[in-house]
Amino acid sequence: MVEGPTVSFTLDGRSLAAPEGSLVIDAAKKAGIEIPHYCYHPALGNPGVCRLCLVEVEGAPKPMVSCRLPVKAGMVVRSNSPRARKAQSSSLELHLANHPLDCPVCDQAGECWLQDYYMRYGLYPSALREDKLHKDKRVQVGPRIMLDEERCILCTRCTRFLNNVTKTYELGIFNRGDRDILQAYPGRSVDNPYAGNVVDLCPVGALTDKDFRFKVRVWYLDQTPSVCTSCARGCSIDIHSNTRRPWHTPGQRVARFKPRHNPEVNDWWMCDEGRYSYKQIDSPLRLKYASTLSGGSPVRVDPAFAAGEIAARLRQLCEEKGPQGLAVVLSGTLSNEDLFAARALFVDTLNAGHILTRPGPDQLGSEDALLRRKEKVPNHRGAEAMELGRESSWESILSAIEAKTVWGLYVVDRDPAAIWGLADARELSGLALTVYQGSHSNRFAHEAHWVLPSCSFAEEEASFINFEGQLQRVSAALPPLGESRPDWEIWRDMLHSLGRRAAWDGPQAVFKEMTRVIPAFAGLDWDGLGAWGKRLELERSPA
Amino acid sequence: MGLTQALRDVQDWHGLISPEAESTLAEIFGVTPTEVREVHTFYPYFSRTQKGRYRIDVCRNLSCHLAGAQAVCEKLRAAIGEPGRASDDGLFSWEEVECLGACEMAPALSVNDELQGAATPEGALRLLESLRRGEGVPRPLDSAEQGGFDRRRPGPKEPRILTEHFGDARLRSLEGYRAKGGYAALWKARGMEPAALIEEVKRSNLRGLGGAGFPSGMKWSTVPPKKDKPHYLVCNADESEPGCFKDRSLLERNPHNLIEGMLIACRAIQADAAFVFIRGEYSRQLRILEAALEEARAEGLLQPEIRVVRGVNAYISGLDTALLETMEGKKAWPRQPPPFPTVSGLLGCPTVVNNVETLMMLPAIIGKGAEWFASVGAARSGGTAVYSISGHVNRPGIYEFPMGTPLQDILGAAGGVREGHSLKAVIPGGTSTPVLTAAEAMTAKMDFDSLRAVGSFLGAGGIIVLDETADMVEVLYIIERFLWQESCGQCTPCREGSGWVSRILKRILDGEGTPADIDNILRIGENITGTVICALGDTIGPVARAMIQKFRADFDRRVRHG
Repeated sequence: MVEGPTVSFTLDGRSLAAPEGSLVIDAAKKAGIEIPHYCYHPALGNPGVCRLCLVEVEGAPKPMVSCRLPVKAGMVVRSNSPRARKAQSSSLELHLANHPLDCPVCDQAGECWLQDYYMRYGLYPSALREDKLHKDKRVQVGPRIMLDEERCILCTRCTRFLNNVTKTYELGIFNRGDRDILQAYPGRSVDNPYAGNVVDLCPVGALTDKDFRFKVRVWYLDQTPSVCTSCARGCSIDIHSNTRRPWHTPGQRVARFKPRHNPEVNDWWMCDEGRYSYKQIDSPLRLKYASTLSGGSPVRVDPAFAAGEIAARLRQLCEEKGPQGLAVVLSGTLSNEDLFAARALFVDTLNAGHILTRPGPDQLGSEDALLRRKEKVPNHRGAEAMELGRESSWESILSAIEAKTVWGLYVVDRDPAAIWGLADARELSGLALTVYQGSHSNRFAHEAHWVLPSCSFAEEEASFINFEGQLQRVSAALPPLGESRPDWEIWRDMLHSLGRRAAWDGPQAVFKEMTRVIPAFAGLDWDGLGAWGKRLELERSPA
Repeated sequence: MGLTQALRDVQDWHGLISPEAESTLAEIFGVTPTEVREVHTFYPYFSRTQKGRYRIDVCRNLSCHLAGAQAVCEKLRAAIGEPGRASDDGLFSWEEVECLGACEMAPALSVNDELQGAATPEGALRLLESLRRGEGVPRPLDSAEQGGFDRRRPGPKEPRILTEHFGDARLRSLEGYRAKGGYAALWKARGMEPAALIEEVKRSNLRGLGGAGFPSGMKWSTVPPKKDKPHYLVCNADESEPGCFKDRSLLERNPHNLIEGMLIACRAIQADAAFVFIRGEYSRQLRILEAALEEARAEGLLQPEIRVVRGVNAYISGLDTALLETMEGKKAWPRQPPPFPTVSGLLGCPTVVNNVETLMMLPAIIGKGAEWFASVGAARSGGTAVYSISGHVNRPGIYEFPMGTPLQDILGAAGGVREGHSLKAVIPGGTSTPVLTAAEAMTAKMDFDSLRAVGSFLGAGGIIVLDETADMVEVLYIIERFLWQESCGQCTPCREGSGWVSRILKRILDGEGTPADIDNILRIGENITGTVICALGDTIGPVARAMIQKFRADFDRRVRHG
């Protein structure tokens, strides 16, 4: 249906304006009226098969499905009249007729649309005396996806996703009538890079995530809007964290990531690579404490003390040996705020001779046409926008080290030992100063003179720019682990100890200063970024 | 198009659809094996387990049940084994199926889709013996040999349009049809403008005789003006409504009448191609139609070309939009208009879907004029209708009467209720139409509007007569079970509700019912009605309500005394 000019119509006694020909269910949602539905999904179409979104239309003899009902000027629609409610509750009763009602052992409980709608639109006494139809309750249809055929309400959301979005066709609805069954084609497995989305799409407990299920009840979870940092797409996500029942997910404060709708970035989806990257947040490799090498072994030190010591040492060496001998490895793992602080410290204050920001081979991977980008960092465009100048390369830094023109190496989040193929990070011990700052440990961290823990993106407020120039914000879902701190804060303290004024009391303050200094950020406002972010006009990323 | 046809070939040749066949067909048709499996598992005709070389289908629907189909099934079970799988020697498999479209031969039985006439338990055993001896599938019966049609001379007030010359077997040939004035109307139509043809049909009050009764001329006039897309005509010959078998006889006895009617319709809607979608079980009728088409083709009559597409034995395929899905090689999941098929039908092109009988009326309308046709019928239903009569009646068969004829007259022509019994009820238009009591039947007139006024439908004119021996709980169970088995499963209320109602009825039949169950059937039926996608689901409630309200005593007796 082609959408026409805006017209007004009446829904539940309210006069609404919507484009002529747009769907009543969408217009209702925009006005804050939820019409119950299962099969309709804005990105997957309106097959009109669940027959739940029935509404009363004045002049129509029968209730109509609002997911296929085009808005017409002057039409009068009721979604909450006795007739509409009767139709919805009847449809719901038939959805539940053969549903096993095994909510106490179902992982969907708490976020199940059958439960929610029953409480809101059903609440009828059961009239069923027949045995329910029995189907297979534990079918592994993918490496991480479990199917309970009895719970399936055959809304076709998953098959439409697999047929129309990933075009992988792993699942089919076989047979006919109430013998209909959702199954994987023999020999096929729902293992495409976007498989996890079928679990999000399933409105009931038919498709559940093996990785998540039976760990923590969803009502104990907190949701924080964020951005996936697994690649340069920067999919909008919600971080579902479990801090209220920590013993259910021991050692893992994050229970799962869920994609958050953002038409500017990821539509409704996210890839599995990103989805399961939540495990990184509380990985055993996380650095919790600052340390320094003493007699060849790391010794825990106060992070503020360490930052002060490092800053002093940097200044001393820059004065003694010249700033051109300092090599700094930064990258798109860092937020805009971090990179801006790094610029103030390493470029404006210390004038370091080598600065590397581009994604290297350690940060490149596979990509596809849907979401996944080859740059496996969230902010390489931010690093470009920050104009840190003098772009080095891993090769030039290594030759400078071999030529002994570099005396210090300051690395964030990456492992030069692995990139340079060094058998041992100790080969770099000839340098006067090696610093590793990052959220996770690596081989280089074991041998660096100083190690500073930084917090993960889930533990701070920050902003990232995706590969298309979309500037998005993340919020802190969790407190920083151990004594880790945001990178910008570490560098702010170093600036302070070097006598530079950096009056940043939070990431918003850093951001505010960026809007004055960095051309790409001119005129932006932290609070104005909204849930979907803002598109920046950036120069084309160099290929 | 073509996947369902190819699946038919594979099934008939190999006796099953194997995973290898799924892969091969997927490659040929440019789809995935998952899609091929979705399609073939939808149609029970296709099977994943090996079927016997001789596939025996026994109809278990209403008329055949009344005539003793269960006894035939029991014999076959004893002789072959459980239904649905090949016997040990690989020779036989048998199944109970829903309606073979041969209610006048009840209980109907077919071997490899060749109709074998009225079956008896002993006859079924003799059939197995002859097949075992290698005598091949017996020649399918001609409906004329069964005495399956009305042999009365029509009076001046009751002209017969389609069945006038049914007694003459030569009618089947082009020459014989021409001898009765056939194809004259086509030449007349070809001298008329399409718009004039549509006007003529509108004035004739011709209404769709497949069951819906929609004015045919009106349907045609919704076809958009011809632009870049081809227009199609599809003849719906997927007659599957239990109680209806008139299209089978019409195709068998008078195929050229259909061809002529289709060619006239093609001119009216400016069709570039035409198709006959014929139900899979009508293999004999398929051959007769193909032969007639070949004759017409040889004479250069087929402008445009008419092709035959074979259905896959699914009731839902008889619904126009589901039929188009089947033709396109998909599951027969009905579409949800708008757009209607006349705007976007087969492969997204403007398509008119008309029933066999509807199309066959066209030569008479064009030949004798719209006024004459309209004058034959009732107020807003022109012409005649061909009724299929079965059940507890003396002479089951097909009978043609003008629209508006009293049901009593039609029953009289069929010899009335069988000897020694009294009329209990009549299902007037096929099992999807609400039942009439004997008293209602005595006053009912048979046309779309008259029956609607008494709370039922003319449907496709499948009259099933029930005498006092009929147990209405059992009758309703058979009707609801049919809807349950044939429900396509696309929309929830029908998919879940049809089974629920059927299972309650089964429980009542098994003596486990309570009075609350009867009210629950009424309640569920009412809840389904008006919320579903297509007419199949909308049938579940009204047929139950009519049966329960009118024959409550039968239900009360069952729940009280088991």
